[in-house]
Amino acid sequence: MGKKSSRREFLGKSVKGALALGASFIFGFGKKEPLFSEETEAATRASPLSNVVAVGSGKDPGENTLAALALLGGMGAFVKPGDLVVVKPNISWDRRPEQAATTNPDVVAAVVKECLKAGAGKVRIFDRALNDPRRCYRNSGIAKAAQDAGAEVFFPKDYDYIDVKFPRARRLKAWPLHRAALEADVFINLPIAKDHNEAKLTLCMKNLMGIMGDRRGRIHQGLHQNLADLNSGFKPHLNILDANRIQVAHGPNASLLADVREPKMVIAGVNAVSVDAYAAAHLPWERDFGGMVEYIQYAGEMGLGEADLASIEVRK
Amino acid sequence: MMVNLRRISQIFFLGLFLYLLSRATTTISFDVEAPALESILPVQTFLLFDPLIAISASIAGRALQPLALLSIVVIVMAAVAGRLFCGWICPWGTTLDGFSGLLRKKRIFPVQKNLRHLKYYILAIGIFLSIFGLQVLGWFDPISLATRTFTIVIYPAFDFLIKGSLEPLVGTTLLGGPARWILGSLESAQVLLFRRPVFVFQGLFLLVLVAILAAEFYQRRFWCRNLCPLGALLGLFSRFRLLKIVVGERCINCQRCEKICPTGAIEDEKERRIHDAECIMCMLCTRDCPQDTLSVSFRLRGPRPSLAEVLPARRALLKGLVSSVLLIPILKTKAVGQRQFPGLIRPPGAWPEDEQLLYEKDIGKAEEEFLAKCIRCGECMKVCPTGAIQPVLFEAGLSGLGSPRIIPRLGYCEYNCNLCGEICPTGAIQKLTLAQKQLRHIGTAYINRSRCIPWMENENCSVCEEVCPIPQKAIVNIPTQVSNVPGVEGTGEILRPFVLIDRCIGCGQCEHECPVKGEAAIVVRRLKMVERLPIGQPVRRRLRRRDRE
Repeated sequence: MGKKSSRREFLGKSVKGALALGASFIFGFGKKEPLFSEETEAATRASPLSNVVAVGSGKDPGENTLAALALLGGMGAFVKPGDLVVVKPNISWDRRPEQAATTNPDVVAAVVKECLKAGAGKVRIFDRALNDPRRCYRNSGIAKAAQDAGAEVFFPKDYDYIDVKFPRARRLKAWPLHRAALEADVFINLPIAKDHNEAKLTLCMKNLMGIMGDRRGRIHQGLHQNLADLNSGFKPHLNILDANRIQVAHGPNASLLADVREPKMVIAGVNAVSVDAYAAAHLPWERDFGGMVEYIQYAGEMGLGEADLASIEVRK
Repeated sequence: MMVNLRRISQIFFLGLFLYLLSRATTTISFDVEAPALESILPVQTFLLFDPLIAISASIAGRALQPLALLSIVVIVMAAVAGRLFCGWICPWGTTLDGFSGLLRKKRIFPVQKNLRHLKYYILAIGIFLSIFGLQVLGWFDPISLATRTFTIVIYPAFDFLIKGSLEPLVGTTLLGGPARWILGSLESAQVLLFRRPVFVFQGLFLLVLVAILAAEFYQRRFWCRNLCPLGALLGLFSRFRLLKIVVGERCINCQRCEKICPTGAIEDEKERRIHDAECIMCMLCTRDCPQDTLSVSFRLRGPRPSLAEVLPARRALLKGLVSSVLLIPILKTKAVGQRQFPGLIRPPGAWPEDEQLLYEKDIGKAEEEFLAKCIRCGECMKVCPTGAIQPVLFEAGLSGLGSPRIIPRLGYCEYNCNLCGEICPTGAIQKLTLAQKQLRHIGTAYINRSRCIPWMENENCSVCEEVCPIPQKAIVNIPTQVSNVPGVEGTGEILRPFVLIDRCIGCGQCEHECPVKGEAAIVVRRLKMVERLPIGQPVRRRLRRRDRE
């Protein structure tokens, strides 16, 4: 009598458990609308800041960041109280801050603090690294600086990528992107400016590769068009380009201090294309790339932003 | 009561073993000052205290192991309390006891045959072979075996079970939060592995584990009583033990103790003796004796071991020595080893620097010296942050089984890391400073132009050049004007990669990232320049000081 009922009980419990599990699968995965749609695109183009590039210069990287932000109306123009903010710096390489392969930790800290001051509910930081992520997060100084400033620092996981289509793409039609980037209320792109052999320069548009899943080696065939396509399907709300220290040779993971220059500025804007165009023209690069970087050119052609320096408003 | 005390001790030491193993990895700490390995004790503690490894590595490596004196503690323990180590401390023994506990009392084919002399064979053969520079005891040492098996089989299986059941739930609304929280916490505590571990030949090591566990169906502690060379070594010292279990006057020959003894140490009860060399002090006999006549006693001078006890061991030692002579040529067969499979990339520090490797015979010698010290414990495989270090099957000859090699497609050698040298308990992989390691060439990258995208398809790629960590880059791009560039009329410029072989150290990050499917278009192999250069010229040019900055 005891055995029969306990077996029945067990069966009953298992069935209930299975149903609950099944229900949780059916009733939902996180929201996964692409960050970018025709409506938001139109709204962004109409925005008064769409062609504006702000530059903050000076000795202190944190101050430069605040100056650039102030010229755009302050972080309050982008972050509303309670917002979930995702900041994506460059934490891709196992290098120290002075080697300029990763975003300056002072800049990251400044951005995090400004977001929290503007009332952000939470600020999350991540990047998909090319060296061992633990070493990259640690030696770049970014994880500690961001955590101390009040951000949640996390490592991206393989199970968190969601397929996103890029309807306006010419070559790269779709790619898995990290769910944190898609679920953010505000996405802030926080690259460091560097020389790059195939891309020529890695600035704001290239930094978005850090939210891509799968094997990214395939992106490098037709890299320039692919970068433009990526930026056609996903658009950060704000781009802040760290140009306090930049790599001008052997990038993007140079380690020789001789490869670093110090323009001592931060360049910010809502439009990655414009920021990149300005940075390509005004930073002390040593490579001769003929004045225009292909992916910036393609992005301009596809209408993703203003690539013509003459039409860009520079605020200093 | 003593049995309970022993179980607590076993659980404690197994827990310590697993804790230390879990710490053998790059720390997740964000603090730049944090040490590379964070642990309350050195991660290799169990291996450092192991006397069998100390003896074997010292003899085969022709140099006393630096911390060999630590293992004297275990020897003294054996001289005082017999094979207490086996019953109270050894994590492998605890694993077997745990498994046996699951079996309860079901012994399917109980075998009474006395196979206890086999472990003396193995010990004798192992010691004798190490005199000839052949390291085979590493395969059989229980701590090395445990470390290797947990690293390659058990820990990954555990990791896969947890992640495999929780990861599919993270996207769901109901259980997503809790699943994420559990995964996150376990990962921060370093209970779960940071990466999905992949090891080649996992099946072989699983088979060995299954075989040893399956033997429990035949005799309890089959490994410990019949095969374990460390048990044999400790058994030899146990003859002098001061603490022994004695059969008292009230014995009624019920033979219950004989049946319960896991190592079969109780025999010939008429003599009322317990084999000194076999008793692991498990205390089960003292617990189960109906007359309560068995007890632990401190005897300065007990009855000497009988001839029947000692003879099998002596015979085995002699026979073992004779058999070893036959094994030496088989194991030293260099037919495979000497051809030195060019894909055999050893971790940096396994071989000396290039200046000492001018000729083929130097490489053969370096390999022999490495294999003499390498005990196949697998610690390097556990600690490697990228999973580059993998076990060898027969690529290095018969005697190379289980030794480490780097397979770049699975993991590259992280430029700023020198953990494998830090962790190697015998110094087979030497401790190198970061500066030394970054100049230590372990192989050279070769581009297969008939697979490389820019060379074959006229499309840019450059991933290999991008990830190359050498400060001045060991891969450069040659801008080339070609026609038939996809999407371009007339000619276009393609960047074609080229390896600067005197800068490349063979870390393999290029091969790891190469987007070509299957075999990469750029592969790391050991460069054999010796035949191509005039005799006497160095194989590789050392990086000039100004290049190194």
